[in-house]
Amino acid sequence: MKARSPIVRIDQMSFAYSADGPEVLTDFNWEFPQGTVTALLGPNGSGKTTLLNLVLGWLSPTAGCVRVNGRDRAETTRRDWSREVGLVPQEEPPVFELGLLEYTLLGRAPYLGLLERPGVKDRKAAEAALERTGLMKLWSRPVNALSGGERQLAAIARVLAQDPSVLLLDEPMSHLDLGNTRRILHILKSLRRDGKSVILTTHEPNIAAVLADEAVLLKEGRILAGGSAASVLNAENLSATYGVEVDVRTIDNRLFILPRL
Amino acid sequence: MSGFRVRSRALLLTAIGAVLTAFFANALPLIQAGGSVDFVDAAGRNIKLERAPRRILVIGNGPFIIAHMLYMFPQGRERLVGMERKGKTASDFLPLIDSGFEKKIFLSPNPGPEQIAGLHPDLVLTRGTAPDAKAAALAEIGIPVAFLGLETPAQYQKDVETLGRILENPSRAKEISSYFQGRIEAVAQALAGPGQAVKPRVLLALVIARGGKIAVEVPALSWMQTLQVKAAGGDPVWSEAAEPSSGWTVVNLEQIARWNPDKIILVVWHSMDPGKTLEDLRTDPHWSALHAVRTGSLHAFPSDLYGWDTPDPRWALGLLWLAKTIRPERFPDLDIDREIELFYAVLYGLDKAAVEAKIRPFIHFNYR
Amino acid sequence: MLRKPFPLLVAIALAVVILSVLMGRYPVSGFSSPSAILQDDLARSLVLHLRLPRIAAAFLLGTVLAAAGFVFQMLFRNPLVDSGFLGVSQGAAFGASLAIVFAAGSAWIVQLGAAVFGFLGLGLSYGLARRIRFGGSILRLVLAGIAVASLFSAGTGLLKYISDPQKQLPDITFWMLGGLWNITWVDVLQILPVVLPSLVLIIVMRWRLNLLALREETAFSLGASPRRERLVLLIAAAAATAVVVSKAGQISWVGLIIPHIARRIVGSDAQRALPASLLVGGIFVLICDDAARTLLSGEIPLGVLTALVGTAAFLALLIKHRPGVKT
Repeated sequence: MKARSPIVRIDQMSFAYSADGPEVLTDFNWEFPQGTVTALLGPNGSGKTTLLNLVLGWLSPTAGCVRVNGRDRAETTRRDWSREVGLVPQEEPPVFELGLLEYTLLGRAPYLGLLERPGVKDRKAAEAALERTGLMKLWSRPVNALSGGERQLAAIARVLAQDPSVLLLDEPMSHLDLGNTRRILHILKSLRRDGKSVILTTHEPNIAAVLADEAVLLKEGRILAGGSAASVLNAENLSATYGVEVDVRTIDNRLFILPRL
Repeated sequence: MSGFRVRSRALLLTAIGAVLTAFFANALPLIQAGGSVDFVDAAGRNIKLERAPRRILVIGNGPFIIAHMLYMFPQGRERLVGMERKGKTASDFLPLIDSGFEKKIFLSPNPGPEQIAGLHPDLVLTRGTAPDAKAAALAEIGIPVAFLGLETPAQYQKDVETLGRILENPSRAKEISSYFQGRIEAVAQALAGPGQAVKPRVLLALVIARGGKIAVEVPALSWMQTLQVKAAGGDPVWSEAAEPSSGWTVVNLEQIARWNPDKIILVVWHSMDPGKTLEDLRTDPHWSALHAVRTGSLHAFPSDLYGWDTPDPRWALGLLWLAKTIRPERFPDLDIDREIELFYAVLYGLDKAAVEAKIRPFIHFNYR
Repeated sequence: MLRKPFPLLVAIALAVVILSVLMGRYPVSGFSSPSAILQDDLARSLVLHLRLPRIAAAFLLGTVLAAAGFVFQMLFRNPLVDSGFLGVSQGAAFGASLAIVFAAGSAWIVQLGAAVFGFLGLGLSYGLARRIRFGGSILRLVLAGIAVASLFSAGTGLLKYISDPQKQLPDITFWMLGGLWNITWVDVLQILPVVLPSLVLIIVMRWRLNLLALREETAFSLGASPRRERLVLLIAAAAATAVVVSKAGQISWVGLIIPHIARRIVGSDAQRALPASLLVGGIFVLICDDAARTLLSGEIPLGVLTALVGTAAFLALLIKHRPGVKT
């Protein structure tokens, strides 16, 4: 596999929520290559979500920096950054009913001025995103009326309309049934072909095993292990990360990870 | 010795007789003054007091009105010990006729029963026609409360009589009553004369700055202002807009134009300049198109220290002035200046010079 | 949802305006024909100088309150918020009461006091929110707004207590009931410099409202500066509200109920719901004011009518329909 140029670079980044509080991330260094899916794994409180927020720019590091496509987050405007980095959060539906197409159109905000409204080009982008996520037939349905899985797909559609280089997903597969999980896995894998990078956090190592090219195991704000998923996801690393004995089996070239009972 | 004894015994008897006579002579008025007082107040309650009150306190709405009534009686002047002070002054008028008025006790607005009890009144007077919570509270602690209406001419008649009983001066009450009745009857008689003409349509309204905006408001149907207009021979056009028993109602200019009254009489709020207000209205493009303004029938209601359109006793002057303004043809000999002198002479014992000095400077009158 | 609601709304607005011009107490109580008005000099003058500015003011009042209510509801993601939120309404009442008690209640001071303190309500809420150390930025604003509103209410209560019960206290009560009977063209011209730019800004940014109604982090991820954009919109809404309230007194329920009615008609997308709110708000207040000045010989306080009709409409909405809002 030829080395791909890193799209996200994190240099010696540290973060604490308050000046005298504990450091949530310490001296973090990592490069996320272009066109890969990287899974961030670790127990609760290991700093996964904080890391996502730091890459998003919602939080600012106390030391170090994060770069995307060579641009430093601290030196880039919010608007420009939102064209590079997009977020699929664990989100609640909007308080006021919004149609699915309108909801997807919100993803075009980075390309619109403060006083502008979406135009034809934006509409086409939104419709394409809905097609890609298979939601086109629901375009006029209010988002509140969608099922949990459809809402998650809708959030992904919005990010697709946003068209950033990097997609951040926070626990995208929680609360989803198998059908929707499969659909999302397919979409995320297809994004690699478009040269997009995906960074996702997940509780479930098996998702990482089936989806991710790379994996980073976090423990207490530091990297326990990182690299290609195949090499990183072994019993020793996982047990150390979760503090629980873990069994890893390979069946038909697929990894299965289970806690040892 | 026996001669002296006889003479000294007689002297002793005479002395004793003299002392007893003197005692009874002096005691009699005291016994008389201790007589009970019995009346029905304006709220329909039977009030029985063991003796005529000596310490009278006035509270409630428009307390100065009751005070002005009390001062018509010499006993009232003495026996009023204090009153609630609603505005900056308890009364603008009474200090002018009684240098000792300021020594009376003044309570801040809305005094509680404890404050009132602390002044040891033997009667509390207040305006109203229905008993309220305060009266009940005072009754609990044994302080009698009497209500006086003092809202309409009819109530005045009863209330003056009540005051006569309270102050043990029924003859003075009769004098006062006959003054008011006399004026009312004089007006009624002149209006009832031969050839009862059509009543002019009159608008009487308050011009006041309300919450920063100038408002024209008409009085309630049962209020003194409406009754005065009717008694003065006018037809109050605002009856359809008015509240039945209390409150001012805002009317807009369109409605005034629609009524198109023959005469417009404006009560200008005391902090506004009546002359300027009238001038502004006369030059206003809409007001100047009104029939009443065009024919010079726009007037400001006169006042001296207090308005003549209010339930203050000066309503009698207001009635007379209204009669002359609304039906001038019926009152050719009515001289307002003389009526003013008569009012203050009969009711307050002020002679002409005193009226000139004390009252005349405050008369807002005669703008053309 | 109607198919083509906007042409209908505009048509209704025009119809109501035209009927309002023909409605009054002179020359006839009720509707006059145009010729009756044109032939009577006084009628012509009354219509031109009193009725028309009052109609304009009423329509603007409804528009501004509905727009402000809509903006607040979106920005605070709360369907129960009125246009006077964040202490604007209570601040205006306090400012007017202050002027009535201490400045002899002259007209322009009362209006200035109401406008300044109404707007100050927003400023104080913002300043206070920055000092709150917990909660997201929206929660901080809401808490600060509640505190500031309570403070101003208490202040107004105190002013009522120390006011002269013969004149000032009824004045304060009067102001709070609201009314437009005194409006002239001068008043309309005085409010336009604030109202027009604010409305234009809100209308132009209406798509942005959809964006700002998302969770803050999400809006942020889409390139918005939620705090700054929110501030701009709040300033516009609060300034316009403070200014119209200074002229009209305290008018409630419009900002709360009209956006819901508008959403019922055109859906919740702010691109459509905001302009619909403007139209419906203008129509609503204009109809209420027509009733206030025409129904009886005496003026009915406008605030009373908007509250009565607004509450009835609100109850109807609650009972009959799904409110179009996440429950």
